[in-house]
Amino acid sequence: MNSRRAIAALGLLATALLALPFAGLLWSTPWLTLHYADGDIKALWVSIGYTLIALLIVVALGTPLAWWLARHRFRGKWAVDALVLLPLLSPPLAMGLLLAISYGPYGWVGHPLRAAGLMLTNTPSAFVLAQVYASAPYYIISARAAFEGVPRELEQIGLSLGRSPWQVFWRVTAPLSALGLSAGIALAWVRALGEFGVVLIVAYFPQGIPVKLWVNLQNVGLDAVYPLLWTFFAIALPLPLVLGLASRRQTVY
Amino acid sequence: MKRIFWCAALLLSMVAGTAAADQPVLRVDYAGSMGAVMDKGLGPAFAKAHGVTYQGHGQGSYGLARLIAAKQLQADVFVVITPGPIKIVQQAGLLGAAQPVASTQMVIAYSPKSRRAAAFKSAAEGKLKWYTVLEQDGVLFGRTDPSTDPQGRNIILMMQLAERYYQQPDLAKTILGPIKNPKQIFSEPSLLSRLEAGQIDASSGYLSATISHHLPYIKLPDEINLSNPAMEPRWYSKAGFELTKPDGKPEQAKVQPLVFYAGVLKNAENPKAAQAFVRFLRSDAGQKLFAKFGYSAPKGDALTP
Repeated sequence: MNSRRAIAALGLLATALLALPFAGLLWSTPWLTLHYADGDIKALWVSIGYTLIALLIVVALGTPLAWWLARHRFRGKWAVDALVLLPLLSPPLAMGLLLAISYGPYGWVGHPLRAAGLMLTNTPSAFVLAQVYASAPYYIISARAAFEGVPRELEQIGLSLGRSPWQVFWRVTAPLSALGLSAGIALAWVRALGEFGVVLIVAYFPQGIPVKLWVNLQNVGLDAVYPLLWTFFAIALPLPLVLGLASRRQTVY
Repeated sequence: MKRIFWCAALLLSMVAGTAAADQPVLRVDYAGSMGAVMDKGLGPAFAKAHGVTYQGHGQGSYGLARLIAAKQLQADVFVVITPGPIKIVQQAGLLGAAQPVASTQMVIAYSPKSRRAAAFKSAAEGKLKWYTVLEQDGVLFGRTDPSTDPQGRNIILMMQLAERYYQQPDLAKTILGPIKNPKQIFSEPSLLSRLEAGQIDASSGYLSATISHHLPYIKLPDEINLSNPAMEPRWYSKAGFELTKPDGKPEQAKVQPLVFYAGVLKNAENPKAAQAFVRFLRSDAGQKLFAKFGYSAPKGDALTP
């Protein structure tokens, strides 16, 4: 009983610590004079629209890779593991520079793409590109853990009952790994939406909320940060909260 | 459990111990473009001579000024380019007189990896008009955001003066496009690294920062390089353009000569060292270091509130 209380106290302490800067935000926001700066609404739509596109790309590309890593053993798998980790552990500024070097207008990938009409510098595509690199590893690692948590026997039973691997994936694996997959999606969403370092280098335009926060700070000062920051929380939080609630309800039978 | 607690307590006390070093700390907030001369040259030299711990922090001049004015940043000395940011902090009552400590000028920096590098080199040697190279098809020119960065404004003002000086009426429009041209505008760290990596051909630059980064550049006459306060009233003032402020109101961008000013903040925690640092910046030793990093001598008078 005593140790239980100690753990609860520690948990409370951690929560208070995490909440501290946001309590400060609540306190220091000038509520009466709060108003958007020029271009804030546009930044809001840029963030929502392009982050959703980035998320679709991350899920489409990341799911097969996560599945492959979870279900197959092969030589040199550690190298693939390391490659998934690299964008995750690169400092965002460095990641941005690396993207600029390769996807820039004279880069070895960027040059042929530009000739084909796809400019990956300061364009919506560049914005999405930066977000994909910033968020994909988070999704891949969560999805992989989720797939690994599905007992193989259940999939094998499905296969032995004459279902195709595709059907088994949708009827058995996907529902059983839904908790982990939605956690991965939530994490990727939050990461992509809030990404500053990579985007600042690759796509100063179009300006989403993180870069616009920086511009507002430079341009007007701290007061212009608050309204946009509150808006950011309002659009960033619902998806992870809903995904978390939905999947938790599923697991509590 | 108990053991973990003691370990944590021990670790905490060690961290606290290192933070409270015995040397007094001098905090200098400076214009983002001064990183090299401050953190590699002036800061360490002063720290060594005066037995203080130097802490430098660089950021865009206007952003820095607004953070200091709102008391969100605390520092001892404030060093920025142009009088504008100084006035913001003076109006907030946090700064007395600011002394000119160095100056610089606008140049066109180019990438040694550019396919046009040879043409740029000829322009730098005076064999070609520099603007004809920039006007060529497919040249990628980079600059910073005029709404957040003085350099972003300066390159536009410079091109406007060049139009008059060379009598080339469409020069600014051809080279720069619209004022907020997404194809050309980058954040400052992005701009310099892209230039070094050869992902843009040329960019606006300050002579000082360009020399610090060992990039080749084209020098421009005083009439357009914005360095000479004496040319401000009669000639530089002919350039100007309108920007929309974040509150939707218009703002006039005008030339502010490229002089660096330093001042001791009124809420400095270490005012003695701060005053000594400003004196050091103006001393022979300080000026030698400035020159070594590509800066020119201070120009004009002190700015008083």
